[in-house]
Amino acid sequence: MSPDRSSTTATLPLQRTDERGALRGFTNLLRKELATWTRTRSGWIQLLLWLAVLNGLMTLPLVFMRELFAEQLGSPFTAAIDMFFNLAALAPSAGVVILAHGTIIAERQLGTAAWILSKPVARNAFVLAKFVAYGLAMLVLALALPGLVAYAALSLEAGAPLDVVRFATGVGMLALGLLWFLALTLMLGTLTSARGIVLTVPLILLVAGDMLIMLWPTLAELGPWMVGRMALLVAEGGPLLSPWPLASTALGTAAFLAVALWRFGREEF
Amino acid sequence: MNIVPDTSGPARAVPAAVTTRALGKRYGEIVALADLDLSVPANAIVGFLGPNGAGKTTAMKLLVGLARPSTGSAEVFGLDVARHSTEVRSRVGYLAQEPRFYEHLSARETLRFVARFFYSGPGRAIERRIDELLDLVGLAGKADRPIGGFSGGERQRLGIAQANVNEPDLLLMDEPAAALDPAGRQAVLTILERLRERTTVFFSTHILDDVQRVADHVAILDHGRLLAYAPTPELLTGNGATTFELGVRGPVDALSTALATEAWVENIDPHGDGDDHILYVRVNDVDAAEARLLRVALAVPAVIVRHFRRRSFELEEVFLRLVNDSRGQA
Repeated sequence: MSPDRSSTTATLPLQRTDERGALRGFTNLLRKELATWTRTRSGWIQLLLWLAVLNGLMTLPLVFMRELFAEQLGSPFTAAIDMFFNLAALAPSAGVVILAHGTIIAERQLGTAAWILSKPVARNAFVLAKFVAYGLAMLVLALALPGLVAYAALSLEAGAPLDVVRFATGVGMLALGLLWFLALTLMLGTLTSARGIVLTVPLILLVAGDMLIMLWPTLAELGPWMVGRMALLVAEGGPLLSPWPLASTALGTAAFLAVALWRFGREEF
Repeated sequence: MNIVPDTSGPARAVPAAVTTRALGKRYGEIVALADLDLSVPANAIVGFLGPNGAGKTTAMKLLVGLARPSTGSAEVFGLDVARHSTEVRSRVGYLAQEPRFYEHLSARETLRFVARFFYSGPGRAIERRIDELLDLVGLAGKADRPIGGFSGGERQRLGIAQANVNEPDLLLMDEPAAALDPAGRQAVLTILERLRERTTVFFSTHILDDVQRVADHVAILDHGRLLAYAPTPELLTGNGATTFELGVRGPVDALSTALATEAWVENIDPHGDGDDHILYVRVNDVDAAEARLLRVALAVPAVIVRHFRRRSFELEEVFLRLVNDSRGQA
């Protein structure tokens, strides 16, 4: 860092940032993106929403309708853990698609992207800051904290602490699926300005996953559609059925991000 | 007036802040900018003039890396804008035509956000710089209000402030006075004049008076082509094809015939009727004209010279003539 050449603040010279390279400006952009979650009410609203959706529904088999769920699924515990993992595989991914689908398009259309990119900011940093911020916020608010509550509730129901590593691994596998949908959404946001496409394509892939797998079974190995079931099995103490869905989901996420970075790097304003 | 793009002159004496060579931009079949050759000397204030769609905004976006050139190249302080875009942007301040910010942030938060792209600290120095800028643009009283409630003029002022956060070596301003009232416009011009000592300013505008007042160089574009680029005084006096104004009484035809035989006379444009006439005599050799023009006129029998002066144009006149000539040729 070198002192600013003509700063008027003689006693406290401004120091030029030493950020360089393909991620220049990332820290500042990430701070700004995270502030939308931490400095407004939206973070709290999201947390309450996900606690209500993921953990609130668990109270049905655990508290209010124990007999009914025990009859259907063997035990309230089984019903509750099934419900949590099945919902957590679907709802947070849908949530991240809905929340993130307009973020890049809006900034391109409103002109704020052009404004930021007129500063010494790497275009990679612009896209990756959004990926990291949305990913981090949703992983914490929609998976980790509800997962913690679910772990406590299920341990209480079981009468002993569950295997924390297995449970955390299961939640981690769900996180992988969520990041796949987030990367897909951001990539589409760089490829088109049609919000409808950016919103519906990932949601269709999410909701119609089972149907697509029935039509084309190989798809189960090529994306996040089996990850929810595998995560449940792992959390319940079962084996990891196949590494391929996890590997392909991680590779898919990286590929979507690579396309997003390439396309956004070519964007003109 | 035959004004050609000037890429020499002062640019050779002082290192160029901006150099473009055959810079062009096409959007499909549309030519937004064609073969732009410019050399802007450091610490100059360049007024960029042109009708809507002339290519002014495109040129600025190319310089700041928001668009890629289709042809040619551009350098800012010797750095190629395509290959060293981030380095260029670290030395440039840019104000877009319609500046956009995050509506939920305040002016102070916006400037702090921008400052963090350039400075790592210390925090107190950054805050002091922000206060200076808020004072400079007259937004100190509204510094902590969300931008969502700002008027167009206030947004423009904030735009000027954010473009100056890094004390840029080159300030690119696209219509900086467009949304401002007369007092605000005046303030912007004053700011530009104050910045002259340490910054090269490149600004586009439709307000010709503003350019005439503060710009020391003028570039005129139309339909993506550079029609003229010259130091302002040169442009206003004719850029090498100086015109003299001769007010006469008497046989103007005989005077015109006498002048037309002189090698330094390029064109004679008589105006008026009856006995009183004004002749605009365009010359290619100012010294010869100053020495001979009056003598030739006085030598014509019955001609009375009422006044004789070197003609100076208003920028609006120059601008309209160049644009109309260009369109006529097209």
